[in-house]
Amino acid sequence: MLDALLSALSLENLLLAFLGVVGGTIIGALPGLSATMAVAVLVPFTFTMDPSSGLIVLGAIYTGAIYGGAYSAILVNTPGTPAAIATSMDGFPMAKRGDGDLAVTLSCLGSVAGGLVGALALLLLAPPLSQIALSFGPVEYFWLAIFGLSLIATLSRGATLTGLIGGGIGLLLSCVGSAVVGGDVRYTFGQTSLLGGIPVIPALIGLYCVPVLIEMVIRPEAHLERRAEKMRGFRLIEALGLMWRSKFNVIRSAVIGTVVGIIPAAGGSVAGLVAYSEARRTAKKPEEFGKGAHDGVIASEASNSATVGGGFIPTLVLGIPGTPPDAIILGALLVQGIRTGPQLFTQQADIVFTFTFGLLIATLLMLPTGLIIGRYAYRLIVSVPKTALAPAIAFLTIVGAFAIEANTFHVFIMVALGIIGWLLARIGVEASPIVLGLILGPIAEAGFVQGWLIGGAQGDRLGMFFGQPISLAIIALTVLTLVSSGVFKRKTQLERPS
Amino acid sequence: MNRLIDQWRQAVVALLGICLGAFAISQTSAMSELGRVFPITASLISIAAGLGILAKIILAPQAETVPEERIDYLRAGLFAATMLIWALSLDRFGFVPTSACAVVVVAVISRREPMSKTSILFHAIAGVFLVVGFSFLLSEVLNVRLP
Amino acid sequence: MTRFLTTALGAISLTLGASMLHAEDYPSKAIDYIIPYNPGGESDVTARFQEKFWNDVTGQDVVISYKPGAGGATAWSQLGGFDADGYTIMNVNFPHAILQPAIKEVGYQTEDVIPVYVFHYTPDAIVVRADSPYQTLQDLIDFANENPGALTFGGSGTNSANHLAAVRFGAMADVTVTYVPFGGSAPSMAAVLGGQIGAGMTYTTQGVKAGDQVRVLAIATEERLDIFPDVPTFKELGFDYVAGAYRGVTVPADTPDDIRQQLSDIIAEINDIPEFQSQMEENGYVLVDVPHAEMGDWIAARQADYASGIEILKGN
Repeated sequence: MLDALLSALSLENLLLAFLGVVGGTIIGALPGLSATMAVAVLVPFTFTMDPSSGLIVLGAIYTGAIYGGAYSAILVNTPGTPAAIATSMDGFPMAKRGDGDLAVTLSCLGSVAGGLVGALALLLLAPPLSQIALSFGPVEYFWLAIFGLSLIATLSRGATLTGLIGGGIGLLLSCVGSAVVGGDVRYTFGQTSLLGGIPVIPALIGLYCVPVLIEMVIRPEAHLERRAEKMRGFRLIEALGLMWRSKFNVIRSAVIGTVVGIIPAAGGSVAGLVAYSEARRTAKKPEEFGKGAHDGVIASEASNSATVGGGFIPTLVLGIPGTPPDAIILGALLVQGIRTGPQLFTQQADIVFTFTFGLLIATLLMLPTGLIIGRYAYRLIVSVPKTALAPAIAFLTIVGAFAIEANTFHVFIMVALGIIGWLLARIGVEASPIVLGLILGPIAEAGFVQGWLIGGAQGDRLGMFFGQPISLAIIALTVLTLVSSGVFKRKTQLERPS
Repeated sequence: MNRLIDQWRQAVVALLGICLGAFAISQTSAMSELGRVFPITASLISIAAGLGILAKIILAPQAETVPEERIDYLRAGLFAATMLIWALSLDRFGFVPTSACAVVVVAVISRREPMSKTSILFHAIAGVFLVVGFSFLLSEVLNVRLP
Repeated sequence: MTRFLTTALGAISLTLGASMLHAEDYPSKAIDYIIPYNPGGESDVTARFQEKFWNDVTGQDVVISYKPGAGGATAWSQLGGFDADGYTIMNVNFPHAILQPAIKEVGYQTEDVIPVYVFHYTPDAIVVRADSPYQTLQDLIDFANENPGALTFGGSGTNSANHLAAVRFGAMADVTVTYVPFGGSAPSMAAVLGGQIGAGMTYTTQGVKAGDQVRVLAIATEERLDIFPDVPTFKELGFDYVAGAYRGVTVPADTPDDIRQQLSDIIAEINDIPEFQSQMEENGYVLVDVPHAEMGDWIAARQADYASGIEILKGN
């Protein structure tokens, strides 16, 4: 293991990790240019490298890209990656009121903390933890998605019914196209371009970013509040203090991120939402969530960064990728002649350990690079006049929606959903419930249909859905969250406008 | 955005939920039994929520005054139209020319104060530089083929 | 402003001009290789294996990108929209590309995605968890016989190779099984390993990947594979069944014949590289060589082979 540490610390590997983190952070910050894309582009270059160096650079890019999503989430309310959805819920309100610098620094500290927990779990506990991936069957996915959807109620702050309509819109949007499970072609209205469904990332960009752009264009005031005094640097001390006060939140979110990362097909978006929901439920002042609560940003970022390390656990131990970038890295491993599976940890342990140390180093490197890039990103967004900012961001939305699959139809979907999203926001239906429905809908539906089929084959559908410990635990958590969020409380005291 | 929602807006939301749900259910007849479950559930949720809102409005009308907000519909409409035309012209006129034009148009729409000639020129150059730079990043570094 | 525009337009026309090259020096630039699935699956991995040797054979690179959706149909229905100059190639899978248009309106026809070369297949394999009570295929069939419908087969997708295999197996062994579709091979294997479903109707490659966590009961090849010396073929067990997912490379329908031929030769050459062969075989892939010239007959044979299965799938 010491050899592996030394080999990860070689100058070449350190440099690769650094470049990977910087490149990944920048790509992740641009909406639509995702971790998956960055990793896919780099794979062929790693064929000529030493396997462990290749893995380190891929891991570093991935780590950086997941973190980079926080910038656009905080500064322009656009999650650059689905993993940063929960970050934008409190990060953007913070930036709006002039605390963008603090939010960026907090997101960086949270990400580093979460990334370290995820990577340490990979280093020390990978084989036993991989069993978590196997204990999650279709029914558990179903309940996990329902838990995520319950956030709609807590997010809507008194306007639960309106939030439910938003969620319904999102769920119906997620049905568009050909269903993986069952093969039904639904709501395509004869358009073959809709067969693949509503693309998630263009929809995210449209629903979150276009309304912000429209507001930016029609309002005279600045995009973000600018505090009168001079720029206050990183506000690192302040952020560290906040982190220390929220240490339980940090640890809980990182653990949630690691565990959700291990579960294949869940990924960073689910991790961020679950950690956010838990942070809100246990917070002393849950009503601050959604209006710029520090803990919201910390929870989301700590958990989505922890999914990086967590996701590699089933990828390396079981050969089952935890997230899409993991799947690409798995393919790169095969090409390098590395066979994943339980034997990897015994036969080629040195590569695994070098890679894990590389991931740890990349996470640590994220601290300085993240703070510096974040600071400049914030300054740029605050100081650039609107006449330049609006066209630049508008262009980035077009680029992002197009780039994901080089498809101009996706750009159209992005713009159309964006305009609809703005109109809906004007009558009170906000973007988050729609997005939650869109992202969690397919997970819920696949889990439900698979569970229904399996339960039917076993002749015990009720036991299938309500008879297993993990399912029951998730159901209990969902009910707890709904109760504590006040959905069942008397409406009158909640409807006070904010 | 504004959290103060008057009852008319709520009524619009409610009707939207009900109509959308009803429409979505009407489309499910061609689907298989399992494929139908989820869309119908989602539709019922939004119909129920819509009915709930209507019930609340009728049973417990609240006299809530909402400060009238002036919305610059002209700019909003122009911006939305620009984005739509932008999206639809990418295939026909190519990525770089369309985007370069659109970036300038968006800048003009969001302009408020009169600008000096040099600053206009500066903005235009910066805009084109941005477009060309990103197109280069996409096509050369990230291997995305641009129309 | 206008000057900038003219420069930009000039740059565009230059790139357009550069793409109109003659077939003699094909390929003279990097080729876009589109995978119609998510990364990490069999289509992606085999394309990555090819990518490694592509430059040695042609002197040019391939650039792999992904257009997942609708079990491959999203990408295949867009194929006709690309330039038919041989610089956009796409992975195509059978039986998927025969089943989908035969069963539903999916925006393309099998004729639109005729491959220039089919370079391997992943044989169907039935796998169970290592601690499963089913030791042999017969155990599985006996269980299914005694408990009609209670045996669950997990596989990737609906109207896919795995789905067809499950349906055909049910017909051959005269048992009723429940097919449970998953979003890909990896999630369906996770459900096998997790014990949520009875058996996986999947490919040999997944059996290799899962190593000794699973037991492979039977594989649909002509002869036993070196990587699974102890696993019987369906033929040995009395079922005349050789099938799997065949993967090839296709181009837009208007692509000229000489380019198709050249592309076919390139892929054939990669298929001949011993290092490529051993890498494929170690991972459970079985190489086949169906070049451009034989494609028409091959497709017709596949259509005939799948016909009965398609009828059952349509009835579902």
